[in-house]
Amino acid sequence: MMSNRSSPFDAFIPSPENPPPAPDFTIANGSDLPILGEANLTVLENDCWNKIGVTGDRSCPELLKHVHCRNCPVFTSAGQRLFERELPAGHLAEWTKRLAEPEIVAERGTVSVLIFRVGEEWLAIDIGLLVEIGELRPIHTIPNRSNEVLVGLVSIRGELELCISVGGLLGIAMQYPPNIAKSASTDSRHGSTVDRDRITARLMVVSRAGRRWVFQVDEVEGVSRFTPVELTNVPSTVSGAAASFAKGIFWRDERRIGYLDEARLFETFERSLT
Amino acid sequence: MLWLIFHVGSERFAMPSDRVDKVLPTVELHRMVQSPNGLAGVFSYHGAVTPVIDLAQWLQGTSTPLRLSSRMILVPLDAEHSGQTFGLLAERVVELRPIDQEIVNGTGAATWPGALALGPVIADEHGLLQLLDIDKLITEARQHELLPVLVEQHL
Repeated sequence: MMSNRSSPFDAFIPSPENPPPAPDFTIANGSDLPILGEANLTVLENDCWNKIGVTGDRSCPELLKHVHCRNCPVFTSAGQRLFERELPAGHLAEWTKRLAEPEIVAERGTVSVLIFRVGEEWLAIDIGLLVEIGELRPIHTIPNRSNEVLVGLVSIRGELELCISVGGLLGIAMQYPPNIAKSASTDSRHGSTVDRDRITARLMVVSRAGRRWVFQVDEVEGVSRFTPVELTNVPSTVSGAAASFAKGIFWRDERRIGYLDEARLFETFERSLT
Repeated sequence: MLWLIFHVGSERFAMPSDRVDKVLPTVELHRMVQSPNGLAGVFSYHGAVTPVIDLAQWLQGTSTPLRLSSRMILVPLDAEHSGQTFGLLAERVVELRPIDQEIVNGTGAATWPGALALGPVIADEHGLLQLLDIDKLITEARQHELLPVLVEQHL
C-alpha cells in the first residue's frame, strides 16, 4: 500500500529519500514539554525533563519539591532559551509596520454584537448572550406544546435544548424554515434536496440568566461593534413585531440592523412555554 | 515589587516594572546620522517618533544581537507621563519577577560613584544583578545626547 501511493502531497510525506525538516523543538505525544531534537542541540543541551523528569522515569529528586517539571527553574530557563533564536524572516518588517499604525482606541460604551439575518431582516444581539453557533440539526416537535414560536427540541452536544423560531416570533418569513424531523430515523443530512454546502442557515445557542435557548437564523454575519451614538430609534413608520423587539437600529455597510432587546426577547421565549 | 529582568551582554540587569510602559519586539530602526554611540535609531510608535537606546552599544560598545528575546523596553521619559517615551534595546527580556524590597534597600547592595553608576548591584540566588535606576539613566542619557531635546527646553 505504501509503495504505490501517489498524491500531490508525496513531496511532503517524509520517507528515507525525503527526510522531514528538523524542527526547532517538538512536543511529545501527550506531553507539553519540548523534546530535544538534533537541530536544537545548541538551544537545549540538557533535556533532563525527558530523562529523569515527568516525561522520563521521574527519578529526579527535584520533582518532590516542584511536583511537575513546568514548576522547575531548570525547565523555565530551558524554555527561555528557546527565545535565543534568530529572528524569523519578515519579523522586523512586520512589527515595524504594525507599531507604526495608529493605535485603535476603543470608544467608551461600545457595544459588541453578533449580526445575523432572518429572512430579509438583519438583526443583532449582544455578543455576551451567545454560547455557540452550530450547524443545522433536525428539530423534534413537542406534542401539544410546539407553536409558531416554540418549534421543539434540538440536541446540542447531547443536551436537549428548546428551539425557538425567531421568524415566527418576529413575523418574518424565513429563507430556511426550521427543519422539523419527520421521525426519529430521518436525518436531514441525507433527506435534504438542497445542496447542504450552500445553506447559510445556522443554529445559534444563546444563554441568559442560566437559561439556554436555540434559535435558527438564515445567516450569521459576524461580530461587529457600534457606539451608542450610532444607535437610533426605530422609525415610527416601521411597525410589526420586529420593531417592538428592537432597542434601536444602526447601519453597517448600507444595511439597516435591528439591535434586539434581549430582555423582551427572552421574556417572550419564556412565555412561549406556557 | 516586580522587576523586569534582562541582560546587557553577559550581565544581568533589572528595572522596576512600574517604570516600564511596554515591552515591544524589535523593529527596523531609522538610524540617525552622526548619532552618539548608543543611540540605535528612532522608530514610529503609533505615529510618535520614539528614540531607542541600544544598552549594549552604550554601556559595552557592542551592538545588541537581534534575537527573538532581544526586545525594546518602552519607558516613559518623565514621571509626569507627558506621553513621551523612549525605548531601551536589551537582550533576553523574558522574565518578570519579584525582588525583596529588603534586598533592594539592604546593605548588601553595592554602588560605586562615577559617571555611569546606574544603580546598585545586588546578589540573588541566580547570581549578581544590577538594579537600573531609570531616573539616573535618563539623566546620563541626556548628558550623552542619546535622548531628543524637547521643544520646551529650547524656550
